Amino acid sequence: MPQHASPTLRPEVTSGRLRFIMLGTAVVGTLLLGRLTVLQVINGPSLAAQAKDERSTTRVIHAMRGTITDANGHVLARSVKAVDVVADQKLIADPAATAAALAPLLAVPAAQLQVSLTGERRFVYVKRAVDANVWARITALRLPGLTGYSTSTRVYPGRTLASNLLGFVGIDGKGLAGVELMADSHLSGTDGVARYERDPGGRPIPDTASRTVQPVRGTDIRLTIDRDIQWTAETELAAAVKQAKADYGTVVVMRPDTGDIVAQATVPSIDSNNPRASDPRLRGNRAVSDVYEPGSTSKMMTMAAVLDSGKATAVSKFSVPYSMSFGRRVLHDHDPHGLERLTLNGILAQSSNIGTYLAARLIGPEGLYRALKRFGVAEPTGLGFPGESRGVVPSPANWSVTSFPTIAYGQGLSLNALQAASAYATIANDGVRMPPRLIAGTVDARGALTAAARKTGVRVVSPATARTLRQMLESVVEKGTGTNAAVPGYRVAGKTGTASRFDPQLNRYSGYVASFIGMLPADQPKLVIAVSIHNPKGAHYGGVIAAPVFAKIATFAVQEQRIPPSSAPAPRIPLKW
Amino acid sequence: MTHARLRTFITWTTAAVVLFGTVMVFSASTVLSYKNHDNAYTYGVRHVLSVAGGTVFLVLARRRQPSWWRRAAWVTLVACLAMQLFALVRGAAIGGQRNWIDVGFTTIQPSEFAKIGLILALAMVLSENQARGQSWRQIWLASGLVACAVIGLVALGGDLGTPIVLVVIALGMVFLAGANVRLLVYFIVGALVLGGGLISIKGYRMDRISAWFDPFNYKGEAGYQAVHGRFALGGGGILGEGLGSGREKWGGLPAAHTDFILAATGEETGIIGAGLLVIALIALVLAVLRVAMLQTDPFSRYVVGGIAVWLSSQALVNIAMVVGWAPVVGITLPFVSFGGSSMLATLAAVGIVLSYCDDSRRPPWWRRLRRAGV
Repeated sequence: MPQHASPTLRPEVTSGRLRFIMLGTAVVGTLLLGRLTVLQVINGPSLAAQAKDERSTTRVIHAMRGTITDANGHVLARSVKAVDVVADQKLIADPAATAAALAPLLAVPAAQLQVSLTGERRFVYVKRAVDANVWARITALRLPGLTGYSTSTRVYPGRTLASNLLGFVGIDGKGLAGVELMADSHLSGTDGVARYERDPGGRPIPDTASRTVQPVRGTDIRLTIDRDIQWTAETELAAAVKQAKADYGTVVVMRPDTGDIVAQATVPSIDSNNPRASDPRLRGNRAVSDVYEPGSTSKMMTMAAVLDSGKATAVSKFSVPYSMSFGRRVLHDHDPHGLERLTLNGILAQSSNIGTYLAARLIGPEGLYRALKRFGVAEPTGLGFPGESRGVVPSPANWSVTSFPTIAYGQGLSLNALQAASAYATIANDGVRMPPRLIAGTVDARGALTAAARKTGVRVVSPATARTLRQMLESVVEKGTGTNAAVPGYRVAGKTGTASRFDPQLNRYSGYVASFIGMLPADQPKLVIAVSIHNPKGAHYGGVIAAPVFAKIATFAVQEQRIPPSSAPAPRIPLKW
Repeated sequence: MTHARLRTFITWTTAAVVLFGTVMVFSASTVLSYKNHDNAYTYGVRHVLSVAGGTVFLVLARRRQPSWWRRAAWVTLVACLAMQLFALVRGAAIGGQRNWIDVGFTTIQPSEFAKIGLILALAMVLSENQARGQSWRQIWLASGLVACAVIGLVALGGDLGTPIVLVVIALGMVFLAGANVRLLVYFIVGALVLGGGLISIKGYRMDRISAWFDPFNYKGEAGYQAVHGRFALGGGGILGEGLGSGREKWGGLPAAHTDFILAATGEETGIIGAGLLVIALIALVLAVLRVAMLQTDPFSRYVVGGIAVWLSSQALVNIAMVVGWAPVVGITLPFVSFGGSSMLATLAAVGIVLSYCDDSRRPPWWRRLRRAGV
């Protein structure tokens, strides 16, 4: 049609063009319909999968944590069902009224609650790990905007009982200290998974939970601890620490034949139910985390090395002066005396520093050093307890002129209370050191115990040496510095210690560590008990403040463990010549 | 098809599409509605009110005599231009655009009604000039003047989708009137070049074009809506997730209840629902075109044909946008998308069409009663 043609109404043109538009609409529409079909039907599954993948996320369902029991199945720590109370602030029309209603149930001030209930946020923790019964009472109030999320909370029925040993868990239920941390992989179980779709803001889309893996409850742990001996140890230790106005104290009760730790007390202790209320420095287990210079209790190891070398016997004769000079320093015994004629047994019974050095000279620095290492000083205990410190014993190459005598009588080296107990357990176990054990095994859902693998012991000294040394240690309790450790009817072998205490804060020696480590019955020891009391004010002798604690714990333990009294009397080995 | 059957078909198809659309708007808007208004059904209820208002418009329009539109054409155009001008000067700004008039209880988007104004005015210009035997140069000039006035004012509002629809309507009507196809093609090419220039000026529009070709590469930004629209369609598959069970409306797919209502429909009702909706819309456009063919005078043909071009272009562009054959521009799906002004204008347009296929002024029940001898 030429541009200049006169435009008159030409219905055939209009009709044709209307038909053209009809055709166009139909063709384009059909093509679009086809494209829509391709997208929805042919590409549908892959697009849907891609979309679902982008929207999907997973939420962890925390597994119920395993129970920790003592050796007899008494519960020391368990998890109970609890509820995290969560608020959707937009749904709470009257925060003040809601807060007022919740305050008495949650034991949180209403003003504080009102803050977490007011605003535009859709997910706010009002209070975590609320008791299930409390949550039931909250739901009965039919308050809008509150949701409960299932969780669990850790309960320690004994509160402070074995708390430093057990440790505690965080708000998410993971072990943060002690056995809770050490055995976390067993206790925590396998978390479940809830898979769901969420909007771009991260909020779950209703009814989209597509796959859920059920959580698997954590394994129950049975400890070697005896609840009653533990309680006695804590009580007696606490009384002694209080009376001595000491900084702290530890007790380790061990079974020498297995290395099983029967009790392990730390004072002051914490409440594992509420660890955050305590001084952070008190939350650890000081029996393994704190090292100290052992002082006289270490003489036992020197004597063992001397005896085992065959260069001396219990009745070997020594002329012991009060003091000796080493370079510019003069070292001496704790009480002045003239030249004494002591047997090796007498040196140990009277805890003579000079005498111990004279005996140690028979084996030399290398012999002493090797012996200490074999006893486990400055070596890992193998317990695997979190925060363990292994202590220090310098190698002879680094020794000064006074190192040999002082290390021989227990200064200038450090160890932790568990290592000290383990060294005495070695003597109690006829010279074989069993690695300490705290976890007896795991208990399955039916209550069957799977015992933890036993580690093999290490022979440190010969059985004969161990027997002789036990008799010498009996002399300490019968006639020497440890008479306060006596338990009527039982032969007790042990050693007192009154060590100068190195104060890490002052970086010098200040105060004392009073200790007593003993075993009974001495002829066939069933238990080793190590007591140490750190920085006592006033009386500070181990035989005065630590030995009585040993006696009290031992008296209870032999009854509780039904350990028969000794039948034969202790042999008498001369102290002097 | 006869007038009566076309009337019945158009009425019931419109009713069915609007009803289905209402259900889908209710479903697709719940999440957003709850988020914005603390009430899941605020948008749904508003949509129902729009449908009710639109139905009133439809009934009023279909009762007019065809000749009435001829008299109303210029008045309507002037009223539309005045409203658009008012919106530009005193209007409510939404999303950086000045296209809305705040009337208290709601806002009105005059550009939607400008489509009707343009159609009536252009039909008038074309038919009058042709009747007077004016040259095509004259006709191009006159219709270009009217179209430019409307499109220019609307474009000033900052919206992109509506001017595109207006241009298509104008070109379609000139084409219907018998204009030189070659000239028309030149014009379209020119418009595309001009459009390309406008697009390249605004960076965000350029991104939209890039995202159109490869949305998944831009899914965090400009391609986000296209990608989520496809997620919705793919998720729906054949039978759909089920009414109310759509996932993308949970904040994933923007404008799920407006521009991307077809995607939301496809997700919840599958290709069955979305396909039927597309078929119904195409059938409706074809029926309107059929009505245009039944008209004997040019003005009527141009009015009904213009409305057909409008509904056709808007529906097809919206669908093309959702399936990824067109860049994402703000064009609603007629009769379905949430949007009061759009609903009022499209239902009024259907009323206008119905007024042209009413061969008697009597309602059907009246004639049936007559035949029954009452």
